Amino acid sequence: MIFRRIIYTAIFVGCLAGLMLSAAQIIMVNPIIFAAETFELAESAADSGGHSHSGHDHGDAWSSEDGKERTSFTIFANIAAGIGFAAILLSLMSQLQIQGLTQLSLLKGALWGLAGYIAVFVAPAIGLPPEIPGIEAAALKERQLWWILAVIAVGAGLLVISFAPLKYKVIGIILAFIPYIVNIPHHEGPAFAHPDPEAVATLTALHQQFIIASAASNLVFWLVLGVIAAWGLNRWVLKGITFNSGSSHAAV
Amino acid sequence: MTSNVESIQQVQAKPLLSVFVQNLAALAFGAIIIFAVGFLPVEAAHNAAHDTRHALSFPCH
Repeated sequence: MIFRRIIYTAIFVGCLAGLMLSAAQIIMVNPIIFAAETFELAESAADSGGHSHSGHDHGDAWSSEDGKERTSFTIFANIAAGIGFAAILLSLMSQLQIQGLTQLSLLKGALWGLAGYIAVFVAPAIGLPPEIPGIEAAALKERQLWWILAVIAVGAGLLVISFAPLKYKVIGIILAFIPYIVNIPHHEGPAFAHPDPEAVATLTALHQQFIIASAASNLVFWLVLGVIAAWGLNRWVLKGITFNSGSSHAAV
Repeated sequence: MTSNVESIQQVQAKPLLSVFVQNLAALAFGAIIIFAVGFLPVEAAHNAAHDTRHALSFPCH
């Protein structure tokens, strides 16, 4: 039962990668988010009197208390994201290995992680740089749709470039360029609407730090995901399943 | 002889399709979780996963 094995393995891989991401995030990324939010709070307190930790909240929806509770939810969400990405990686690895197109090793796992990092972090970040609280941006729906397009197009492009026969590889290159040909939903005007120029300078500096910190922590996250997923694929998911490379015969 | 080959292919076709469907289901499982963590527009989900959305550079706000 490959489905069940992938889910169990994804939970294991996701927990490890999510915990690694959480450690990197708590040390490097969260202090920047919190620092940026102090400006956002000042902004929203003036016009709405909002009391929540993230000044962009609308209405009285639940939000976690700052401190331990907020950190716990972040760790939980990081692990969930790790499980989700691990399930996607494992399902693709499993399909390609069963078809005899690849034979995963730890080194190849690191390459898969690197490809995941390029598709899920670098590709959308080229068009829409990572955001800190308080930054001005285009409408959320449009940015989310473009993000999904960028991740799927570049991810599929990398898969085609890596695994398709030589004459089809150009299709992968075209796929990877599509997100940058369409209209990227950019915000027009200054990045920060804060009235105080000193605050804008601080936020701009924080934003640059944030891009570096999130680039580093995401790289760690994806390398752990790729390497441990490759290990888990051979150790658990495809254990005892025989297939002949080329003839694509699988006995399940 | 031909019928033998066909019958072998039929036997093999089922598990291969089954494997593909199972891999596809695992892919969908992962995609649904990523949607819930990164995109679910429910306010409480957004607030719980807020810092994760920023750290993974999902569009937020």
